[in-house]
Amino acid sequence: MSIVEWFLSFVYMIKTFPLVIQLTIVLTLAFIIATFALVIAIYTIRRKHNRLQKRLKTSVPDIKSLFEDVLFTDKKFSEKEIYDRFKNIVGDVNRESLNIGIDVLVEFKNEDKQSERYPFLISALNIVEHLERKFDSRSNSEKMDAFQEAFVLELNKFDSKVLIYAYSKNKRIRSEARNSYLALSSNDPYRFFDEFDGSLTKWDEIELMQYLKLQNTRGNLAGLGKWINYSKNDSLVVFLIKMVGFFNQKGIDEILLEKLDDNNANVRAEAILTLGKLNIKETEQTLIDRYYTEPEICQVAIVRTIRKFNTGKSLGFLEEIFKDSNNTDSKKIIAEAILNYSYEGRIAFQNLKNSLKGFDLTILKHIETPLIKFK
Amino acid sequence: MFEIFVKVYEYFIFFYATSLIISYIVLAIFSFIAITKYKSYNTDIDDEELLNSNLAPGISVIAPAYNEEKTIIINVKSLLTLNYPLFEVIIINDGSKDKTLELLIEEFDLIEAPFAYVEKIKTQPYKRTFKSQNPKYEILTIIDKENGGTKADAFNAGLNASVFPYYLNTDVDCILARNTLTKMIKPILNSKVTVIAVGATLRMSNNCEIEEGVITRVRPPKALIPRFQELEYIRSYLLGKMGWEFINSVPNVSGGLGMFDKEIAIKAGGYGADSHAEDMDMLTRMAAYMMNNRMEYKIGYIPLSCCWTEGPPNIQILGRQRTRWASGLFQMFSEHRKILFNPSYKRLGLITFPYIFIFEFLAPIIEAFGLLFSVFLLLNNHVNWSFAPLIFIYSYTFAIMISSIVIIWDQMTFKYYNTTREVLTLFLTAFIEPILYHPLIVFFSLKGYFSFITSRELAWGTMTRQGFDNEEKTKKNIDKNDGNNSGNDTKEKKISIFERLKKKKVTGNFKPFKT
Repeated sequence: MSIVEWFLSFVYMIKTFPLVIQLTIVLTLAFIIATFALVIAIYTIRRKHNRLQKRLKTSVPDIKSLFEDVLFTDKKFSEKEIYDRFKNIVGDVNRESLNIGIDVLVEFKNEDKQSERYPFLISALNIVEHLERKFDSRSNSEKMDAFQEAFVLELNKFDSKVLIYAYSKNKRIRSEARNSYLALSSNDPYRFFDEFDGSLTKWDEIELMQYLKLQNTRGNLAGLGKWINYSKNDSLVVFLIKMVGFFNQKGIDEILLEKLDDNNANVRAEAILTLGKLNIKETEQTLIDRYYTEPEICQVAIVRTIRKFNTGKSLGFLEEIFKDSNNTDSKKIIAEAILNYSYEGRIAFQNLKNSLKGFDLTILKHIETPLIKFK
Repeated sequence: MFEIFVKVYEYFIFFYATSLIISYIVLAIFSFIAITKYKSYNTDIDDEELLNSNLAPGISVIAPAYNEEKTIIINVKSLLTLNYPLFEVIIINDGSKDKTLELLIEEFDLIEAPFAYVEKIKTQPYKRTFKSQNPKYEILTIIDKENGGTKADAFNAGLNASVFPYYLNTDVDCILARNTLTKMIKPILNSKVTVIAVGATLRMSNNCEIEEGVITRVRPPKALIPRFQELEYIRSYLLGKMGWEFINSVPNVSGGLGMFDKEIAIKAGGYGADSHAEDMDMLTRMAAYMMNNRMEYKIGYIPLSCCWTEGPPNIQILGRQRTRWASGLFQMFSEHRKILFNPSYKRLGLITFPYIFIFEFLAPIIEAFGLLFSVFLLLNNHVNWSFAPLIFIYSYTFAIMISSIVIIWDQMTFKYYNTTREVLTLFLTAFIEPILYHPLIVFFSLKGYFSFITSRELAWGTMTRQGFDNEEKTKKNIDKNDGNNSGNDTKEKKISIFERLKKKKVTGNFKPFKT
């Protein structure tokens, strides 16, 4: 009996079975075929992976050595020479080998290895064109890689590419493009401060902060006060106030004082903290006057700011609020402020220790113990 | 009459099995989309960004320890090697009877420190806090408390002592990947909605190479029981939980590795102190709290393996572990029964809870009944021998196919094994797992249910550690609970389910979630 005949007789036999059994047989066959297909897929994935690993093992040390020669030694190379030597190492300069090369460069950058010749090496290997292709790729993963690699390699030539994605329907890509625009655009990097969709995520803040740091290093950091002043997006305002403190941008005292009356407690708290960071000591009494009418988040900010001012004028206030407070977390922060409030603060802390008992005394000892890093 | 019963039973099993199969296929599709999405939008460069950021939020790593002298030092060292800009490690010594605390004091140069411990969540009495005099271990805090009988009570003490807004709960027998915190905090940072918890995949550490608390080479376990568990874990995490993540309905974030929003955890009442499934119980409490207060929330999951734990090396220890889990599941459904099929709890009440109840909680009962019924049919010569093997092959091939899908998902995500042979070893395990391992799990689950109903005593820490030192493994095991002077006095005397229900009815002692 041939295979075809056997198969046909098998099919006829199945047809005589109840429907449920027919279904069972068909599905069982499907499961077996799927399992075989999956095994083949697993094998293929592994083979590809093993090949890549082998290639990485052999070529990465050579690529590193070539890049180190170009970037960190006095040896002179022409662009063609670099390209040819890279080609000799990887065999073929293609998507895969350029990705390996970029990974090596990203590693150097992350290790903070400085060189003026990064642009030269990037130009020799046509990395800008390669990243453009990645931006144009249909794969979101490739696009995300391109955004990040362009940032790490400090390439700000992608205005048009990034702009396309800044209006993408894909939320993640749109958000990444708008954040990256700050670092990758050479024309109007702050354009999307006016166009953020809803509140910022914490990740947006982390990304934006590092892009602002880059602008600061380039000497292009704009004054952030104007967006704080007119933006209706509270989360952006909170973030920008934080950044004003971080980059120590002066001259926005008026705006910060205005923000003390904002309806949003987070905005007020951040403005208070930034007053401390910018050391605007004239506001100390204003902050003390507001203390009892503010919610906890702002009260904590006031204590931290007074500690920053360290004028020596508010010790009595700190002692008073320590005694008044019923919240252990707030008490810890106040006690820490007293302890670090100049020489008088330390004496006051000791006096408190001598006069207090029970859990309040434990809080003081907790704060005083240098072994406890996070109070 | 008998014929009618058989017919009804046949149809019931057909629909039950079919819906289970369909649910697996749907979960496989969902998990594929979720994994692809995760891979598309998360890169290693993100880790660098986070590590260099001044805005990275602080994380408290909380690990309870009860009689863990075998592995405590290497595991605490592993926790201290985590790569993250701002974190603390809190170890809760839950009244260990062995040398756990002494070893910690000696190894990390600890002294008692005045610590303002605030009992935001009620626990068994707190005793003292130890801090290291060695600046190298300045982020380490040891909380010593009286034994609470459950891991949940120890976690609550850790929550009380923690300072940061997020916490990672883990076990001290777990070895974490160095980038665990950067990977697990990302879904929290990247969401506009409050992410109450994030989970990641766990694997077996049994045959992995570990140096100074860091996994240097991942291998599938050589012994069969942990290898079965490795496959089971990958299936449960990559296919199950990643699939649920896609529709924001993750039922459980493992107690071995989970990151949580501390504020929500405390507001939800912390871990149920008498819970033996503290992980699922906690997540349920948090989700219910969010829904009761009409707040939007998300539960995240990442497809990466960040945690390696020692799998049970033999059937006896596997039995203890699974009995406890099953008992905990029963306890969980008993305590949160008002959520089941309750439309007020939306997806949790109408999808997640019913699914877990029907396909996980009831499955061992249905399977056991099916087995007994088959024996009965066999004895009475009612088995249709033409079709019975077909049905068996049908379910068997489906089980293998699902395991193959999971292995390919795992390979897609990250290639943890160095060789193709190791991957194939796992694949071959899938062929014997349904025959050797699955019946054991069914048996231990039923034993767990029975223990819960009959109020058998249970204790946490029933897993005997062998330690990571190979030489140590050859030495005689010290069983923490079967030892001469340990365990018995720490076991929790449970009240039976019937007594508890009766008591609740009489006293009306019901704690609402809403705060």
